[in-house]
Amino acid sequence: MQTGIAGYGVYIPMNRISVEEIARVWGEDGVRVSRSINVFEKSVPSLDEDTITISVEAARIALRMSGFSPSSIGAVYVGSESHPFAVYPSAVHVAEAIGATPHLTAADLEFACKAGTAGMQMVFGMVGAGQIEAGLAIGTDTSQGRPGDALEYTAGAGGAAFVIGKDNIVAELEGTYSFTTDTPDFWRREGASYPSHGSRFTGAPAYFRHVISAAKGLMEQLGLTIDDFDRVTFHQPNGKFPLNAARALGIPSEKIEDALAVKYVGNTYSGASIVGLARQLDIAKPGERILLVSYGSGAGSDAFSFVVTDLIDEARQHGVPVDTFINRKRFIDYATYARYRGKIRIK
Amino acid sequence: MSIADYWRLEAPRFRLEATKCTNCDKIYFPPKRVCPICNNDELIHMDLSGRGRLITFTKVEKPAVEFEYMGPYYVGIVELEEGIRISASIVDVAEEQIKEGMPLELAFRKYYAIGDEGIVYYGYKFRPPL
Repeated sequence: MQTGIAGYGVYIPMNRISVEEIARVWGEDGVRVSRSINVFEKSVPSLDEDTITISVEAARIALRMSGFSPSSIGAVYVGSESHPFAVYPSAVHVAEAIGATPHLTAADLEFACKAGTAGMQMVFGMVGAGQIEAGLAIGTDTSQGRPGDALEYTAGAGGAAFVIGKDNIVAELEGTYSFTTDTPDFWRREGASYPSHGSRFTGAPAYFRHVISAAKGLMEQLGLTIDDFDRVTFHQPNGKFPLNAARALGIPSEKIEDALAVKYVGNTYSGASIVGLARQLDIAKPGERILLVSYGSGAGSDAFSFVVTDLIDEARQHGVPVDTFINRKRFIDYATYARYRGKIRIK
Repeated sequence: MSIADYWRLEAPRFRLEATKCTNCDKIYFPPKRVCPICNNDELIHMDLSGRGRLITFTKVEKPAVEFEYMGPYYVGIVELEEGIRISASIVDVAEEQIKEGMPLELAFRKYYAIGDEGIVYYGYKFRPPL
């Protein structure tokens, strides 16, 4: 019996700040900046939202769609680079909130923006080996961007959760392949408030090398070509990189365009590539094949091939479409954004 | 609130866990161990639906110290489908949108943190349905 995704859910906070509003504060041309990164606005967590609350919300939707009982969840992994606690797992909060405790394993993961897909690989492995009936893999971030840094235009908040099992499969896993090196393109030191990055170094030797190599490695492993895929989602640090990676692989832009939630919610880091997967699953037809490639700085990419099953239409009735979150929004100005993101220290 | 108190209240606060009397079907939230109506001590655990409507509300302009970081915000009485009434914060709602009778659903949110190094408390709030 094959393993696959039985349910998925996303959560994106409703606050938005436009790229133009951020550019206004820093004296930049907002229209030009927005066009150059292909991002219009980004999500901002409310004062009472963080990686734990976002993960719980996404997990509840995924579990409801999956049809699995909470007690059948044998593993919960939360991948993030913005866990609220350095010590005290986000994963146990999620497990408790969905009623999955105590007979399960749980852990927090970190690998820049690909910790969510690292968790998916772990759960696929455990389910495939028969160690657990089902598991939950989540990728969430409330991304940090230093005021005035280029990252500030895109660092958003959101996450996606996937219930993985052997029953009620809406997207069957065909295979997964990873490409990993030590490439210091982006990092955050222990105790530092904001990440640092290597500017243009984050492009060719980092994002593009790893995403393209992982995609090619997966296709070679499975004996597939790019023409065999109907839909694609890549990590989306901005709206341009995934389109350029697709072009380099010979993928028509229409196969990836639907995945680009980044244009409306920003880069949700550990959530970015898999929010894109959820958006593709929202509209995919049974039998379609989807290519997912994440990217985490440091650096690595996890590639997956999924085939959508006949159960997808019925399962969607129990979920919440990604577009519900994209369209649920209230715009805030930079001052409110600065307060919400802790950029103003009151005491 | 002590950490032990928070831990004891996690099930009701995280997932609206209630208890139901197996004799008279009365539902209790927060959970009770003994039914005060029929003195039955065989109560079963159940999670409430999280779906309800707003009975009444007020805007908190001057919050208690722990909640100052959130202010101003709304607090209301929510009647759940099961008939249980809960006081809770109402989030993701605009001033022109909030009104008595509006449908609401369970949200999982942060309550407050103990300083920069203490624990962070989480639990239920309510929002307009997604």
